Amino acid sequence: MARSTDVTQADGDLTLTNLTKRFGDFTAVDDLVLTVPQGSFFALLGPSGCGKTTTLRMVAGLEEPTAGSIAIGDADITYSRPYQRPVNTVFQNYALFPHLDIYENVAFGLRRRKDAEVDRKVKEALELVELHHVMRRKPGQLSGGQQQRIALARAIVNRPAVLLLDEPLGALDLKLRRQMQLELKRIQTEVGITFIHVTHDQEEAMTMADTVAVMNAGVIEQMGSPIDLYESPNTAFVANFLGQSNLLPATVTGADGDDVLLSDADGAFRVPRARVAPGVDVSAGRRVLVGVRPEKIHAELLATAGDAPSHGNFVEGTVASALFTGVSTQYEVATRGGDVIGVFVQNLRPGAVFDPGTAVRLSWDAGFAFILDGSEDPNAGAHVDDEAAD
Amino acid sequence: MSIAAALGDVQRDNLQGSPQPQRRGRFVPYLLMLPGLLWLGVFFVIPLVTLFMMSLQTAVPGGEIGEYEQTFHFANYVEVLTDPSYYTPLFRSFVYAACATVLALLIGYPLAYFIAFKSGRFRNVFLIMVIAPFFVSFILRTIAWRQILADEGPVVAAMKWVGFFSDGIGGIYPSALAVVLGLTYNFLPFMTLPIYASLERVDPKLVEAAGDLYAPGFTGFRKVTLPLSMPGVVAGTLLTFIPAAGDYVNAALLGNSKNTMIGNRIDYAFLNTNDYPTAAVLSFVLMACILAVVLVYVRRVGTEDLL
Repeated sequence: MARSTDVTQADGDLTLTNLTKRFGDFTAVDDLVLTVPQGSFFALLGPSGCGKTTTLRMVAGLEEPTAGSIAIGDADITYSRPYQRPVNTVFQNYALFPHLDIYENVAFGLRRRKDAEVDRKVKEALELVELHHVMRRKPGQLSGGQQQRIALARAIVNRPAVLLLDEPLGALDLKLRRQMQLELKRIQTEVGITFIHVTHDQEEAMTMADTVAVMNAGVIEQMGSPIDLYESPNTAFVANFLGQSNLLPATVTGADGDDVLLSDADGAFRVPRARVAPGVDVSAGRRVLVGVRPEKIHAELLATAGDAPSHGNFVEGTVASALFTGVSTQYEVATRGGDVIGVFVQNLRPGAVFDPGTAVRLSWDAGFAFILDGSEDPNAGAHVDDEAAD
Repeated sequence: MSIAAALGDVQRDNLQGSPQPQRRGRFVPYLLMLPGLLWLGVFFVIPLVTLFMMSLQTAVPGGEIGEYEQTFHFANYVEVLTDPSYYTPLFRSFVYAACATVLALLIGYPLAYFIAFKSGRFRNVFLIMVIAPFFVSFILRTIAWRQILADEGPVVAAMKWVGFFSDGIGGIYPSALAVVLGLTYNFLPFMTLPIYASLERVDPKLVEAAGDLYAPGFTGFRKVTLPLSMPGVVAGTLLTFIPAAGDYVNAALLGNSKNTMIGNRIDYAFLNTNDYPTAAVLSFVLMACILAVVLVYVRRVGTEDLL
């Protein structure tokens, strides 16, 4: 293989072309096509076994692809050795060298490459993660959060074109995780290196990444900004995996201007045509899924509510359960038509608003709903075990 | 470990100042140490003191051979230390033991590495194979090496075939080489198992991390795997060197009079000439020499876990 460009100096966008990895009969990554712009914070989000870690390992050079190619800028790195790539990894559980002190851990890569300014660069990197004072300690003497930051410093100090983070915050407790999310974002903005962050934690992906790719069963289901993915999911999996969604089977009854008209056992709805997922047929008679996020639903006591709104987009039912979470109360409402709809009501006043058994009317703005393909499983991605490590 | 944990509990209880668990906890660590202390007392301290007392005994005037009375005759030590006939066997013991330790390390480290990282699902089979020779008596296995290294045996035949030995000239048994090979063979498991135990604990992710940080292959091994396995190497070399230096079975069975080790001299003094004080003095001299060598070695290698 002739290599005219020096891959170790490669710089630019990371491009995965038709990337495939099979382990025997199992296809872990299936014909993946992906471009990660240089300098962006990119998250690969998915449940355990969706192929995100395998993708990361192929980019790192720890796994050889079955087919397809990986390039940074113009340089093809598909078959380069890990140490030849301008890529460094922050490993899950950090993989700090226990026999070396913090300084030598961070200096490890620089020393191997015979860097002339080891001392300055190591101190700079430790300064960046605000841990220069623990320089002479061993990794075992640091807390989980500190070890995490040292792992980051050890990778960043080599100034790779792409930094891979494999579930970097998975071992930290919730509070520390929140704090590190902000920290990682700050560091990424400061150094301007492309970050590729693999996680099963949707909150982590949404708070940090510029672009999130939701992966499932070896393919990318949807890619976009966190807001786009959350507000306009294209598949039931994305709708359920990122936050929660109510997905109600309904039949298209026609159209009214820019709105699609639908009905189900609970009544009639309308959804703007712009809110229909790409490729979904909304001609009259088609079965689709109407999606509404629980926090977008307005709930009111049926007894004191006025007349039903004439434009539709409401259902009536009985509160089946109420879960007080402090900021809000999460209700499950059994509708007359036989669906169960989740509703989040902000606790503007002390205490929960509705007791179980109360009759309520739920309504929402037509523009907040979305339409997905009717052949999808409304529960896809809803009950994946998001605590299991990938 | 459990003792340390129990001690930690005691300290915590003291800090909290709750009198009830403190009283109960104070005796727990000592109680837990009791079996270990008893063991050390019965099987180490008492024999050691007995041996030391024996080293100071003198022959009963006009008594039979092997009849000694308890005196404090420290001149026994001077007598042994000024007798040049012990110097060579003592020196030989350390040279043979050192050679056997180096050989065992050269064989045992790759073996342990293979079992820890490359044996896959056959790992337990290989581990059993390392331990399996223990099911046969030490003496019997050493005698078997006589057959293997004999002039008519397979090793010499193979060497003749290669042209290493010409017909009629050269052989391995009995010789210093045979003794060293016997020592190496007999103590190999003591080298392999501690190294295996420390290699097995090395997280493969660390090796991947080394590869990611420009230390692939052998560099990664040298910078990460090897340092992390050093406690096993130190333990293995000590477990090989110490018994090998005091061994006399291999020299007796695989060597001749030119390969006498200090162990053989102790054995001879005890069992043939019934010179118990001299045998006891030699044992203490050997012990002191081994201790000195080990201290220097451990200081040099500098594993903080051991000292």
